[in-house]
Amino acid sequence: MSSTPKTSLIKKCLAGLLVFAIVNILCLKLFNHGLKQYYCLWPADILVIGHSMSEMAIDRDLLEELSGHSVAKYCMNGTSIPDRLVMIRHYIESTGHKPKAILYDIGPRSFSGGLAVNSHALFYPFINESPTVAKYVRDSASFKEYWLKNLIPLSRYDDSRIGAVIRGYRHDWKNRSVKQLNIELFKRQLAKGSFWKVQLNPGTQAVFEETLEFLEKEDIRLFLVHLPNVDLLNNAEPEKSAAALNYIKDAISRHPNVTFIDANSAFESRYELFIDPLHLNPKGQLEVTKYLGGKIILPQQP
Amino acid sequence: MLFTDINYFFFLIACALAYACLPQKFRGWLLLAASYVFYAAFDWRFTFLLLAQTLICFFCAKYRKTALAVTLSLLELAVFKYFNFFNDSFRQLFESLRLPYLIPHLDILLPVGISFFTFQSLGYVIDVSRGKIQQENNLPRFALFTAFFPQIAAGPIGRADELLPQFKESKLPSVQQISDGIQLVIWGLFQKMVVADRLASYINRAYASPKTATGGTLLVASIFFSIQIYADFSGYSDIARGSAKFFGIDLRNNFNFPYFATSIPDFWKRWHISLTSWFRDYLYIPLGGNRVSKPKWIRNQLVVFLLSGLWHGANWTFIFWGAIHGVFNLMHVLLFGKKNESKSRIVNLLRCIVTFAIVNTAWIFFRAPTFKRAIQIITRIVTHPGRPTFGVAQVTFALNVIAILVLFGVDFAAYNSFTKERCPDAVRITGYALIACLIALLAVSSRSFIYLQF
Repeated sequence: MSSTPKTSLIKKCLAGLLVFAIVNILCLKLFNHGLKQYYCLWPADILVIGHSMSEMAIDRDLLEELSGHSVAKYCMNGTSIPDRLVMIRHYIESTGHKPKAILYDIGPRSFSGGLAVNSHALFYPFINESPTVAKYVRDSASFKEYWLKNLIPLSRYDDSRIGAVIRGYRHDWKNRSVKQLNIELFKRQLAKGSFWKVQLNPGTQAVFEETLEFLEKEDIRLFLVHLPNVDLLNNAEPEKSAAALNYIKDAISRHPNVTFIDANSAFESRYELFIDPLHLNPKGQLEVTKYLGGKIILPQQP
Repeated sequence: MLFTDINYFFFLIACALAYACLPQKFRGWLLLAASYVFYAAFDWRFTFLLLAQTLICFFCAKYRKTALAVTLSLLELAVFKYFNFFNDSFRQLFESLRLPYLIPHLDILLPVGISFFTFQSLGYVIDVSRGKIQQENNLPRFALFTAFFPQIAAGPIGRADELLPQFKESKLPSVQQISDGIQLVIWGLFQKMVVADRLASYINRAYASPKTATGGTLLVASIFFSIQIYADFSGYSDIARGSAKFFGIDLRNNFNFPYFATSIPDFWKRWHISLTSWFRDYLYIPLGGNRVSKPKWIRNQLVVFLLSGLWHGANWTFIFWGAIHGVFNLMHVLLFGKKNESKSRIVNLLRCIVTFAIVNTAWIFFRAPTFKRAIQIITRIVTHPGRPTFGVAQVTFALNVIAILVLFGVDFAAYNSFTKERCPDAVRITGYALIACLIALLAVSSRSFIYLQF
């Protein structure tokens, strides 16, 4: 190899790496801005924290209108109770602001497994933005994964997050699902025992109690909302469901800042509002948000 | 260790650096050791099979026992790849005739790349027997020819006259080879991880339950599979060729824009070129090729296509896939002769669409697990034309379409001779950097390459 072509190749490789790095950094800025818009990482009075059930059940704009308070909706598919504590802390670190109240969905299945096992991946885009997220990802991801996400910013995004970026730029938080619950199919699944089971996981319970203590200490009001599930699912394991709900009520009785809202009973038998046994359709979102709007009352500022 | 695994790239870089540092006489040994380590990473037990195949072909070529090499190699394939296919087919036949059948189904693991390294080493024995090449007296060098890690798992199937001299020379890669290698690896990863693997989930769902999918969804899934298998295999071949270039080795090109083909014979000049040319040189021509009577020529054509189907897998669906290609290939030659392209762009475009439609239909048999399922899919496409669904999410579908447009956009530019000479360095560097960005953003983790199972 003569030195001239060798130097030229090195220069070309460096130029390629430079373009790669610049595009990564620019795209990260652009994408993170859109993602923060979608997850409403801005100062607001009410923060909605949850997974896909909240994402599809609560209309941010309507809740803002009905409650008379600014609302931020930070919901991600597949987030379990430990993830949500990270989300609350991330919101506070990212905005430098404490919300007056948090709306947090809870139900008998909140303490079960079955949500995303690698839910730390949901936080990759914010890996460098919050100490809580950085620690959570470092503790949960493999060494290889952690460093890859750190070195190549674009690898932090997946299709769901890209979709969220687009919706963030469009300020679109609406439930856009066009699916409809197939009750006969679900009955068959129930008969086969193929549904999300109720379990009380001690580790998850401990994090839930930590969340309650954290919010009380931070003087943040907490509305625990039991969002609707289809009654067939609710009645699939009645004893276990009752035990889980009793645990929730017992845990919150020790915290004066917590209010429990049962949005399940009023809607559980209205199958026309669901896309599947757990998630609401746009009409369901509208009705449940209206219901919640009348329940969420915050003390007026002096 | 798959080409898409980051560990592979650590392995490749370590091997390339060691290769560059070692004196020439040790470079072959390094590549041989690396190749056996690479192959053992799939399943160490198969290294014995690889070694056996190497020894069989080396000594059979040395002592001119071509028939023995062919028999033993085909026996190896028959045991590991085709035993259960023929065994199960005979059982079905016996059961339908209400006759007893006592040979049970055996759980035989299919060694990765068996069809590729068997054909490559067999080609060497035949070339030696024909006097086309001199026999190789250096066993380690021949072992490297059989096991060279970039190509062992899924080709391209190399030829002894091209590869053995390169291994003998063991020269360092030129700057141009390194540059080409980097570009091929990036483009191969894009094809595999961004196009092929992203399309897989849509295709798998549609093919798993065609009864619940609309005809539109199944049609889209079938087109996606045509693209997936191309991107998967072409991506693999490009990474293989790119990796080999870091050791100064040029492997043959396996694809030449197959979906721009204007007829089935044209398609087969562009698709899996190393296998097609292998069948041409070692089967079609020995059978008499086209210098025989018409009925014999038809027989030769059909034999080649049916065996090509069987080579891909031990299932009647693969044989039927080969038969479809064989029949359309014959029809084209009988109706239009060897004339391929027209001067009119519109006529060529129409031919291209018709060829793709035939190839796409044949791929349905290739992809479907059973013949019955393939027929079910085709029937639903025709009888239940409905809007296709987007699959998991609209955004995923949209990103998949963007990935496909990038794939064919780049292919189209290359096809129309927008080659290195005409493409300024700045554009090419930026282009590859952007493709690397798309890999970072859109790649999904893959567990296999489609052609590894063959």
